[in-house]
Amino acid sequence: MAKNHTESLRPPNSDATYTLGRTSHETTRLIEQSRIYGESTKHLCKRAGIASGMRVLEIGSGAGDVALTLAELVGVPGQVVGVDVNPMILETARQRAADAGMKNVEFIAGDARTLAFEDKFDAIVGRFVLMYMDAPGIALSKLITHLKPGGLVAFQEPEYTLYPSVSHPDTPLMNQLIQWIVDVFEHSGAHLDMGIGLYRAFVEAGLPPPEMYLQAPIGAAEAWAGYRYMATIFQSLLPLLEKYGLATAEQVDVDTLASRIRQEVLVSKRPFFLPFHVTAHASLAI
Amino acid sequence: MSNQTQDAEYTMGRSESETERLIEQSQLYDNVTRRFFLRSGISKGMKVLDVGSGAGDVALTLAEFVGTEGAVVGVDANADILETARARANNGGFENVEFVAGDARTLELSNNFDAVVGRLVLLYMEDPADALKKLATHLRPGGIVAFQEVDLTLYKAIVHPDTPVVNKCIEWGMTVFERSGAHIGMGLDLYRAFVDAGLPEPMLHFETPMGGPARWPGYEYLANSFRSLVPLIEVYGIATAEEVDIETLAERLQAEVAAAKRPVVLPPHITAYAALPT
Repeated sequence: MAKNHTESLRPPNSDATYTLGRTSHETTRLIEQSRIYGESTKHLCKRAGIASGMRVLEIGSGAGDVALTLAELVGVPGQVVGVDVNPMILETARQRAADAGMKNVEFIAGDARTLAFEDKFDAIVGRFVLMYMDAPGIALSKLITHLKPGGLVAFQEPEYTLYPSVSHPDTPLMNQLIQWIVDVFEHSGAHLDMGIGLYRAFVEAGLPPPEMYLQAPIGAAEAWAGYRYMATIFQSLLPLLEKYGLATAEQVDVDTLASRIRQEVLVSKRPFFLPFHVTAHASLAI
Repeated sequence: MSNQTQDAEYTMGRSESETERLIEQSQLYDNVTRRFFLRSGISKGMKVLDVGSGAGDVALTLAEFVGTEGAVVGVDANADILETARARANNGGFENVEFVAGDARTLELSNNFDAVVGRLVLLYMEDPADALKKLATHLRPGGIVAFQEVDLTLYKAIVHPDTPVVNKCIEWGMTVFERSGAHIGMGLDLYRAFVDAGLPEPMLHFETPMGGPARWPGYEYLANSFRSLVPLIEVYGIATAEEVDIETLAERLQAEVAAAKRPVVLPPHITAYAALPT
């Protein structure tokens, strides 16, 4: 049912535009994102079998949150290599690793699909990254060449095709926000159904069918951090929303957005859904 | 279920295959429940009340969490199924769990539990907010209230893959739960139930297992759910046993999912927890 709307809009064999931009605000948003989605990432890694002493490759490190979580899990005897195509944001990641005293993590700028590594890895992890890659199944098949036999594969990706069906609260504001999100990711060439598409990507890459969970941070409490996080998403999306002619800054009105969402949720007494994501893991044959 | 209230009929029935289904269900949702307990703060040494124990799966998971210095009291309205729960606790070597038959809302229990927990139980209760209010009286100040409930209204919205057998099953499932008086939107109503019970605003989370098309116990679980539901589905005239065709259902679901090359979502669970003021 979820069709891939994106193919016609994308040049052949090219990745999507990073829909959320490369600003310092976006770096802040990534760190906030990790506060909201970080717990499920950590559980995904544990469930996948990532443990002390492992050497882990992390794809699309951004501000370094997933790499730092992994560095904790693998401990001092382990090692984490984080890769991102954006060298600028890796400065932030390196600084945060240094501030946290993590000596078992390094960051490399480049495309993990084509980079060469001297040693093979015990595990590959990525969060919100395959969604931007052209042909995720092929991308994954390239990434897993960096693994040892029996290596672990764990990805967490968003699922936007299901998001419009659970608009909560079902109000004009929420429906508009969800529509903008779907439209802007679609225009930028990202895979809207990457969450559910993880199944197909794993199988196409020659991996076993993954164990999967569909999840969403939800909340209705007055003090919940999710309303503000939704506003920070829109602050990052705004440049592309304007560029594609989908919305104006006045329409989005980022400064009042969190309080407007909160108000609607409090009236409805029903939970507000942040975008769904899917966690999936499997391991290579030994 | 209690005689004084207008609780739902237990939609899934009280058969032996229902007991087996409950155990299967627990294997699929176990990770969801464990993460929920971690988030809620259920920990070593606690004394926990489990409401609606059934075959005992949640109580046994809790027994692991609280350890030998903690204790779990599991309550269920169905005295028969607690025999299974007790046998499983014995086989597992758990000495920190006991099961009591009755209605946890009205039973005389101590009022110093550290937590009251339930999975897929408020949906059958006449007034979930009132039930939470009564259940919370068993807690000490600062005690934890933690419930995991299904939301079938949400399931209909996110049905996946959108194929005929899957869609038919969801339609039958929603109708039979609704007719039996269960709250089919209990998951999304958890927030309101907590607040209406006078409890603090709960922290919420949405999570559900997905899987398929091959090597996945979810098809058997869905088919066995219908094995439990068929008696009421027939009583209410929603479908005939021939239409449901239990014996081939798992196989047909799997074939459909395999053809769609997309995973299936199991019924979505919403978790909610809050701690009483100290």
